[in-house]
Amino acid sequence: MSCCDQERRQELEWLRQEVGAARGRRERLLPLLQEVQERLGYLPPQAMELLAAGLGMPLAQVYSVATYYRRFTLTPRSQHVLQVCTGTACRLRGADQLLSFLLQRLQPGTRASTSGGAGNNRPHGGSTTCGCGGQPAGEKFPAVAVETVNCFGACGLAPVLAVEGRIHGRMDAGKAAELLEKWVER
Amino acid sequence: MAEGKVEVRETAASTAVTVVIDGRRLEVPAGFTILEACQKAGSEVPTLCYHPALSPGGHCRLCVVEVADNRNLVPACCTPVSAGLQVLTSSQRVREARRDLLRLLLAEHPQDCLTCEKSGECLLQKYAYEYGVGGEGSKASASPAVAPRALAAESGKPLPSPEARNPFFLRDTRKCILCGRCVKVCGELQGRYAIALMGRGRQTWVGTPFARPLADPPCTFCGNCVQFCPTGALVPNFRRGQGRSWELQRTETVCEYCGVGCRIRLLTREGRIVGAEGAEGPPNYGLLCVKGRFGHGYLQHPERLKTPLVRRNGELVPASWAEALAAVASGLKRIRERSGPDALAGLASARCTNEENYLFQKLFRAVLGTNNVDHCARLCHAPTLTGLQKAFGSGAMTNSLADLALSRCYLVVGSNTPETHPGVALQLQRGRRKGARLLVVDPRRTDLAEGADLHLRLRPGTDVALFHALAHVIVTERLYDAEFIRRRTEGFAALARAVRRCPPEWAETVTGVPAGAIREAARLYATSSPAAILYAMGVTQYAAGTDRVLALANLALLTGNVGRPGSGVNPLRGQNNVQGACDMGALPDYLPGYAPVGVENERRRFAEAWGRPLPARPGLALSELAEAMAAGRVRGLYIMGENPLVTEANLGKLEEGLARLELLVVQDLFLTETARRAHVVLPAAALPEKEGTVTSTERRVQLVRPALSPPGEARSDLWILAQLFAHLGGGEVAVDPEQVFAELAHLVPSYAGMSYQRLAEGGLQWPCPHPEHPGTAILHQEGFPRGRGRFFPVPYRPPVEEPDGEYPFTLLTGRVLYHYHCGSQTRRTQELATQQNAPFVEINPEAAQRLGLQEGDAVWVASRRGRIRAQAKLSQRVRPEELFMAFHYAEAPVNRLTLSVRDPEARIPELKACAVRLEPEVPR
Repeated sequence: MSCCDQERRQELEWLRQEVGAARGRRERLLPLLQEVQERLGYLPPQAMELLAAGLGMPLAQVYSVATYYRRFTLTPRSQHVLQVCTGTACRLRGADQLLSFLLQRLQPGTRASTSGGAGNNRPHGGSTTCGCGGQPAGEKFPAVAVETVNCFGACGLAPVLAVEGRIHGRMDAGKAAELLEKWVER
Repeated sequence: MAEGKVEVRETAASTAVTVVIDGRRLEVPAGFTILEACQKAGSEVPTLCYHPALSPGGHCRLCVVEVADNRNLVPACCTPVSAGLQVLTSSQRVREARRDLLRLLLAEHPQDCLTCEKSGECLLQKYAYEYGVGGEGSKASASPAVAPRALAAESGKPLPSPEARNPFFLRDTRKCILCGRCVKVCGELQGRYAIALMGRGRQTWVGTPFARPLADPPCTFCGNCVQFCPTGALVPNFRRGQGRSWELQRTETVCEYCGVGCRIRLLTREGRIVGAEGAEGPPNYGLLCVKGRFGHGYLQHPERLKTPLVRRNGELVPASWAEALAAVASGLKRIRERSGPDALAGLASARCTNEENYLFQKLFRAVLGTNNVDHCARLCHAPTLTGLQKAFGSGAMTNSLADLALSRCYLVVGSNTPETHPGVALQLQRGRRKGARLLVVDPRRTDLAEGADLHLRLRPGTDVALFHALAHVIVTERLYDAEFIRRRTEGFAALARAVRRCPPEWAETVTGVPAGAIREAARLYATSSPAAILYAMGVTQYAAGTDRVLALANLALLTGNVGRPGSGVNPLRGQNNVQGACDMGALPDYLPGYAPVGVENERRRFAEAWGRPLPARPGLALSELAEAMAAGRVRGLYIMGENPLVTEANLGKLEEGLARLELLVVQDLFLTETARRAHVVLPAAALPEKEGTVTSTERRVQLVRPALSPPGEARSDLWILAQLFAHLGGGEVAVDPEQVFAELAHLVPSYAGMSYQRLAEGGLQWPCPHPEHPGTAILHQEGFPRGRGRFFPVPYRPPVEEPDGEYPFTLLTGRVLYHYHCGSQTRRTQELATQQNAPFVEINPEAAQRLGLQEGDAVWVASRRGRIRAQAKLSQRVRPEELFMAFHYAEAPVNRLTLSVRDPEARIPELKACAVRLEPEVPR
């Protein structure tokens, strides 16, 4: 058993029970994936294996669902998330400038990206893992993650920035800087 | 691209609707899609993701058509027809839309048709040509190694391609058009779900979860995804650089491995085998397994025998055919003169054609004068022959593979179907997708058992107790079919009396299967109609094999599950022509067509046809030869295409017998373990190198056609036998399979209506008594050959050798997917030899821990008869008190351990189970 396995085992005890109650019911896949994402901040392989075995569906299909939705990430994500909407309305009203400002402030060296959460949807693995298929061991995760989303449905407030799930409308670089300072203080 | 129609539409629409396609008015069934209507109207509609065997998805949109009164173009493959529908399949608007789609696909597709394997077969290439799209520059050609789609946006790393790590095929993600056919084949048809469409939008790829290797564990490398891929995204590894579609010759024949009898197209170029494709039609409908698709490399192996060999001064040296044949003929004659004809024996082959087996037994009976003819059916389904002959009057699979998909419940006993009969497993998968229940009786937790509704995990060898307990529940709960029993069976009262003494609680103590599970299984089997029984070696390879078959047949007779589609008692025959070899009388007690040698009239019929007197006394069975040879009663043995020194039980005894022979002749492809001890070795042609017929497990007689010439001086077994007829004074035999077939069809009533001409149009299932007869898909529909089906209240007898303090484990034997019997072909095929090519022993982790064994440790497995060395493989598939080994490995032949105790009627040895102990190589 590898280092991560034991930790996960405890982390996932609740899921084991949930899955036990939902045995064979495939329709429980999405709600349970959402719950794992919410509790752990990502979907570890062990959780997906547990779900596949318990709900009686192929692991490939569980993985297919997990990689389809942008709300799911397969690698641990920062606890503090800023989401910039890049929907049509927000784009027209300066979402790109807002995004590059935030990236520059918080993640210097990173170029503006439109992949956001989906960028994390790539397979596990790589050269620096501890061998248990989990997160790369040596890699440092930024304290704050900047992501893009397609649309919050708040186009009237464009451009929109969400801070840990709370939506702030009619943003620009100045307002965002103010917001960030308040947030960091908290 | 092979477009096999896998599934016949089973919901025949009752009503028809009128539609107008390109101005043509026609009637189609109401359930049709627009695409099917267009095909019926003769209007060609291009498709990429659509395949008739798969559920339609409408992913690719290339099949769009214009429908009157519909603003948008409509995908034809997944839109049902409606009354009065008017369709245009190639209007300007439609063609422009398709052109746009092709442009988009090609923008991401490397246009390297000059070096692509699929050139000439690729559908994208075909449509690009037909629609005049292409040459507009592809972004995909920039980096040959990495697909733009596969580039992760930030990191610039390619997505891992799991197939790069398998020896069978290669996936080039750049050429993937994401049609999803491979995903559907894998899930819908194969039931493996090894791959899926991952990600979304522009970042979509076909992959495995966590980019794990394909074999970990769901993929079985059947390669059906490769055949269904419309582009060059999936190509067989071994075909690369071997020639493009138009340079290859395609020969339709029958796969040379198991008894399913899959139709196969062998691809050859300039006399070399390049690959294989599944051919359309029953029983496999275009699909193949890993052996059928990738298992033909042995044909070109350098070790193929190319000249006859004769033993001189103790060594086998090359000789001419004249020398070798003279040596065989004089040896056989000398023994016959000195010791009588019964001092000779012959082993025919379930891997040779019907014509060859027919001639072989004719040579022994009519020319040499002995009934000592047998073949390896003795080691697999001899109890089926004796058991089902007694119960029904015919010892063959009652139903057809195709109609198994109609079952509501499968009772699979002692069969690891997905590994040993992959083509049958496909039918089970079809049925299960439609909701059929699956009951598996097996001491091992195989993949099939793992996925079953109920796994009855009995102690090895206790089957009869379990079957009687099932019958007990059916009888006491009155779940039987009283009408069927009254009308079509006899002996019910005696059976009912006998099984009343076998309640599930008693069976639980004997078999270890919980009584509750037995009750549930009995109810499921009895109340799901139709229900089919399938069984294999786990039933027959015991000294009480015949009893087991009879006890199983009882269940089908009780519930009226005989003679109807989707029901039956279905023995799964092991080898490609084992059914045919039995039909042809390569058996010591039967002439061709199961005419008993002891019956005067039957014997006279053959004696007249062959113009020679025939011996009346039944001959020796394969399993009796070892003793007869050791005792000096048999002095000359002729083996056509078998390797008993790996496959026969209790090898030590056989070796002793072979050593005493005056003459051993072996006719084979390779210098097998048995051939090495021969006095004369004759080089034979492999099945893909000859013409003839073979009969599959579902009694389907099919034509075999040569795709290649045999190497060097190797000759077909038919040619060799014809020479021997001449040398032994048996008269002239034409080396013409068609003539031989005509002769045998004349003598075997169930083949009487068959001819090469008819078989060329597709296989025929026996009985086919006259030239107008369509063949018989389901046996016993009206009556049984013996009149009434008979119940047999057989006694329960425990296994011969039970574990004890000294030999505490029960060793179970069997096969693995990637290898076949003695391994002489599969282990000489490069791709297959990469998989499980070393002897292993499956040990439960608990037992391993007790003995201090770890995965991969070398260990000795010893029985009272010998010991062999294998690698420990820890697995939950076996229980702590049981072990499992495959018998493919000559370097560690399991049959050194097995028992030669035989079934008194079927004369099959107890190959399946014996008591053994484990001895770690180095004491810890």
